Amino acid sequence: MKNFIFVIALISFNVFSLCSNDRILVAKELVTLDDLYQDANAVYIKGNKFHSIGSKEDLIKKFPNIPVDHLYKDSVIVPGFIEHHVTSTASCNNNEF
Amino acid sequence: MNSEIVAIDDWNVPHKKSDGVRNRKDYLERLLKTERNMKDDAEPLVSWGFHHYFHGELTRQDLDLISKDRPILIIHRSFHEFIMNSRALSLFNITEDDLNHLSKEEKKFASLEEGHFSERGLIAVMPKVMKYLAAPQRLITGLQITENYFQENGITLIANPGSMYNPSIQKVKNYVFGDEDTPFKSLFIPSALYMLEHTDISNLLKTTEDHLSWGEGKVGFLPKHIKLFTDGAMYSQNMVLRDGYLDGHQGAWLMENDIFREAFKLYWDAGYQIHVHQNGDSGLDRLLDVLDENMKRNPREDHRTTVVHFGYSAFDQIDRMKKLGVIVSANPYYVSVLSDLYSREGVGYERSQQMVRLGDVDRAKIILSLHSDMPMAPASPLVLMHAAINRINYAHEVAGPNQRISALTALKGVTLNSAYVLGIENDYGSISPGKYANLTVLSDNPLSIDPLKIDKINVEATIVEGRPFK
Repeated sequence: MKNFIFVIALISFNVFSLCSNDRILVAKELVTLDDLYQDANAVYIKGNKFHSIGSKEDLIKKFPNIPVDHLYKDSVIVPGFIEHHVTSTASCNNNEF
Repeated sequence: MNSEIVAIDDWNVPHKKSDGVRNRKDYLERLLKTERNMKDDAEPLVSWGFHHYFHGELTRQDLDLISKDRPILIIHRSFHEFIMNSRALSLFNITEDDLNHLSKEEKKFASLEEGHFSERGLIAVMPKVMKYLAAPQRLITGLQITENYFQENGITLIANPGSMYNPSIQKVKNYVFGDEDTPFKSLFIPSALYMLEHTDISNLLKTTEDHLSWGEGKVGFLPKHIKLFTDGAMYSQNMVLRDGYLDGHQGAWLMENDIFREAFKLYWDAGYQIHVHQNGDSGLDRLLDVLDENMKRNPREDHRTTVVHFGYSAFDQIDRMKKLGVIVSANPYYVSVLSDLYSREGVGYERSQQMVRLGDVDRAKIILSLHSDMPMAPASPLVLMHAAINRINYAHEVAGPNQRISALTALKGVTLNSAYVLGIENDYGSISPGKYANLTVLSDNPLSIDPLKIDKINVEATIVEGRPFK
C-alpha cells in the first residue's frame, strides 16, 4: 500500500511538474537590464515570476530538480516589451486620440 | 486595422500589406481602385492613413467623384481629422444641428460643406460616426487582428492612456483582451478630455474613479493615473508652436487653458500621476507653467508628470523639465516619417531636425521611454528603437544627429522605463528575481547588432507571466 501511494505521489508530482511552467530557461544571451545580473545566460521561472538568474551551470546545480528548457538556447532574451501607449480601438481604425 | 490602409508608410499587418503612397496622384488612384474592388455596393469604404502634406487637400467633393453611392470615410493619419463624402454624411446623419453648439473658434474646425471635421469640430460629430465604427462585430474583428499584431511584435504588456469614456466599447475591449489566452495584460488610463464631454469638472474625480471597476480579466484601469491634453496633433500640424508656422496657419488647443489648469490642479491635489499629451513647444510651455505653479503651491515628490509624444520642444525647456521632475514618453517615429517633410512644409529645417530631442533629454538624465501611439507608428518596439537610435528620415538623412540615443537607452525605453511611466517598475521591465516572468525572445541582440539592422531583428516568441506565446 505504501508503495502504491508512493507511486501515485510520484506520478502526480511528475504530472504537476509537466503542467507547471517552472523551468530553467537557457538563452544564447540574456539581457536582464538589472545591474546585479549582467553576465547571466539562464533564468529560473517559478510560477509566473522570475525566481533566480545566473549562469546555466549555476542554476542547474542550485536547482537540480527543475527542468531545463533549451528551446531558445540560440536566441537572445530581453525583458518583455512594454508598449505603454497604444490606442487599442484606433489601432483597428476606430478613433481615439 | 479594420479598414483600408492607404498611408505614407508601409504597413505589414496580419493578412494585409499596404505599401506607402506619398503623392496625390497615387493616393487618389489607390482609393479609386480600392472602391472599385469592393464587392458589396452598400458597404462603406473606411480608409485610414491620409496625410494632406503628402496627398493634398481632400474634400467631400473629391470623395464624391470617387463614389456618390458608397459612403466614404477618410480618417486622417493623425486620427484628429475625418473627411466624408455626401453619402457618408447622410449615413451618419451629420447636419448643421450637430455643430450649432460650437463656439466661433471651434466652428473653424468643422465644415459640412467640405465634409471635413478636425479637433474640437470632430469631437462634435464623433458620437454619430462611432455608432458605425465601434459596432461590436467590427470592433471585435479589429481588436483580434490587433492582438496578434502586438504579440508578433514582441509586446507582453500594453497600456492605453486616454481611453474613451464609453462603457460599451470598454466591454468589447474586455471581451477580446480580457481572457486568459490574450498574450498581454492591458492597462487603461482615463482621459479627462473625453469625460468632460459628459460631465462637468465638479464630478471629474468621481467619474475618473468609476473607471476602476470597468476592467475584466486581463484588462484593468491604473488607479491614480489620468491623461490631459495641451495642443493638437502632430500629423495634422495642429501643434502649437512658439514661433508659429511658416505658412501662417494656426495650431489648435485640445483643452482650453482654464479647463486644463483647473483639471491639472484637481488631479495634482488628489495625488494622481498626470500624463499630458503635448506636441508643440508652446504646448510644453503650458504644461511646465502649470506644473511649476502646482509644485510651488503643493510640492510633491515622485509625481512623474509625463510629457506624452514630445514632438517639438525648445532646448531651453530641457533644464526646466529636469528641475520640475517630469519624465518623457516620446514617439520617435515622428522623426522617421515627418522630419524631412516638415523641414520643408510648415515648420522649417532647424526646428524639424531637432524634433523629439531625445539626445538632450538623455544628457539631462531625464527618464525617457518610447511609445508608438499605434496607429501613429507601428506598435513595434524594435521599429521605435530603430527610429530613436538612427533618426533616419524619408530623405535618407540623419535628422539631428545630436538627438540620437544609445541602443541601451532605447531598449530601456521599451522595457524598464516604459514600466516606470506606468508606475509598475517593481513588477515589470527587467529580468530580476520577484518580477513577473515577461520575456521577449529575439534572433539578435539589439545592444550589439549594427544599429541600422535593429528593425530587422526577428521576434521569435514572447513569454508572459511564465507562459510562452508564439
